[in-house]
Amino acid sequence: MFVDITQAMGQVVTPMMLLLIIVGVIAGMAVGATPGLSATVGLALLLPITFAMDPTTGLVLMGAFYMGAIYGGSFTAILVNTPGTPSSIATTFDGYPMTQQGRSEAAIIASTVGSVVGGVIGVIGLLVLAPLLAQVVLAFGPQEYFWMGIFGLTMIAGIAPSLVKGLAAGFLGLLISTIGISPVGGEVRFTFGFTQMQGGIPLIVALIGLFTIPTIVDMVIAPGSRTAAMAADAQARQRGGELKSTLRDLLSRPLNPIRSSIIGTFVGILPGAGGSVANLIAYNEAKRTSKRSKNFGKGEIDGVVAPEAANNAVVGGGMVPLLTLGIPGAPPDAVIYGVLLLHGLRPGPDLFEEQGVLTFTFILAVGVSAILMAPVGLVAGRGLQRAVVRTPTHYLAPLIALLTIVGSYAVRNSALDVLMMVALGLIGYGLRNVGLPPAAIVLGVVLGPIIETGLAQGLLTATAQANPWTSFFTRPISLVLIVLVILGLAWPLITDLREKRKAGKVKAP
Amino acid sequence: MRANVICGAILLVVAGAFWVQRNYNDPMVGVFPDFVLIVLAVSGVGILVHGILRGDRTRRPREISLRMFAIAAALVIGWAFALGIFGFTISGVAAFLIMALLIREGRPRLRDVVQDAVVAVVVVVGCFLIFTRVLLVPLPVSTLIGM
Repeated sequence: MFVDITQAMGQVVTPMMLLLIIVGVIAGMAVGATPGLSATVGLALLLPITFAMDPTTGLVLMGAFYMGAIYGGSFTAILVNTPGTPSSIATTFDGYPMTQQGRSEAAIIASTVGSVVGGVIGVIGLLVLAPLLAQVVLAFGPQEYFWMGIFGLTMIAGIAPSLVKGLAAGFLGLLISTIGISPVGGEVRFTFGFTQMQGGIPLIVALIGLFTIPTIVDMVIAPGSRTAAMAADAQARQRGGELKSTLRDLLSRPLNPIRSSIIGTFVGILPGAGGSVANLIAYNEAKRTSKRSKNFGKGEIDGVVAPEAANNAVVGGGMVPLLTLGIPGAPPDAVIYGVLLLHGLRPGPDLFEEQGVLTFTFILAVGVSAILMAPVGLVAGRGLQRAVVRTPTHYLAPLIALLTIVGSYAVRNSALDVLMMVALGLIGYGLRNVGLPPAAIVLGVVLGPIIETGLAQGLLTATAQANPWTSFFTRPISLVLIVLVILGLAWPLITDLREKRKAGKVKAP
Repeated sequence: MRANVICGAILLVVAGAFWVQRNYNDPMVGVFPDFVLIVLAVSGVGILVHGILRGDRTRRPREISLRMFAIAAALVIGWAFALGIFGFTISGVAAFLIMALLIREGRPRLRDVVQDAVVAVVVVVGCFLIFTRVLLVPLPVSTLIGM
């Protein structure tokens, strides 16, 4: 194995390969930054281009593109409150408030640091722990996926100002996810008589609508709202030293990106969960353990680092089941699976034995692309940040609207999806005004299919038992997840109680 | 009206509207959505009752300019409908221009209108070419001009 790794390193660290990796990262960043064009879509577009390439070049390009696309999703999440990919949903919670405060450059630097650390740790996890982590994948059944989805839903407790309204919004999202054809049984539900609704509401359409349309409407209604942020950003640029001071601040708390990366690596190995869940779990953990937890949701820089570290760690983590078992860990891995087959590689237990050099070249290229995201991101990302901040609102708002239309149309080449996106967005704007956060609704849409499929499949696989429901409460990993769910719900209440007691003690003398 | 009362009412209406649409051949298909609807209805009742009982102490909905919201909503809805009829470029240029002029502070001058029109054409056509020719992402085309 060490011989193969050494040979692979020799292939990756050449000027041509490094240039190819940089091209792949930049292209991935551009696609990932475009709302609606996720990493999966980008990889699918890139796939035909790799037909003419040799296996090494094709795989290196795909790997770099994937890493760049996940990172690129953070740019629009931070700058215009629109996650470029579902993996960047949690990045909007603190990234966009930082932009509103004129601290967008610091946010971009934070997302770069988080993404680099996450990408590297994910690949280290893949290299070192692949066989062990593959066993964990096999131990996860439908019941575990169900509880993991429920655990994801408890993140709402951390992001919504009111727990009850947050959960109600989350359940609204769950309801939206049930529209269309049921995942088990194939029955059509809740179409209200419209055959066009049989396909349901795609996640990307809901994501773009609920995040972006309220932002655009805010810009139309209150165009002056960006003025203060633009002025603050201009002042920060005049002062200079933002990069140095932000890096110093971030590196003084190394535990956050490391912990988030480990979360991302582990969640990434679970097929179907992927970055869209990892970034939420990492965000919630960062908030729970932070001494500045009250600042989360209001522009806390650690709230940007955590989800970005997690979602880039998913790149490496997702490849564990892909390469060792032939099971894609995340949707983009399914496209990479196709590329591997195309170039004669059969993912599975024998891959590392039969095609060791090529496999390790691919893995190391993904790791190198994570490192190269630092210089590329700090130049291109900050360049984009400056361009967006300087763009007048009367051009920025229609440009965002244009990109969201492209993104929602591109999902199924359907103008109906654009209408759905607009309708959901306007409804989300109204719901936001009565206290139902659109982010929690999106959370429900993301987690709904995971929860429902886990529930239905869990009940079906346990039909031999007297009471199939008991299978959800008797499996060891399920029990651990149930404890996490209870902690996730109870933690904000426990924190509140502690603070009230502290305040009571301070007042008493 | 108080935000909680409106919120509770919305949740109850949505839960009721979806409840009457239930029509499952296999009970397994309805387990999850029925649970979700019950939780929504219960939380709706809870929030509504809380809003009524709390009276003056509940938060008012965020104050927004209804006129501007209606204009913004009409614009984006109109854009979405026009997309299917006039294609990406024509609807895009028109909506981009209208939105830009709407957002400009103060009354736009002729120079502003011309400038915004030029920017709209460059940006929309540029996006169309990048997405359709470079990224090969299909976009709706107008039958009038073919793009």
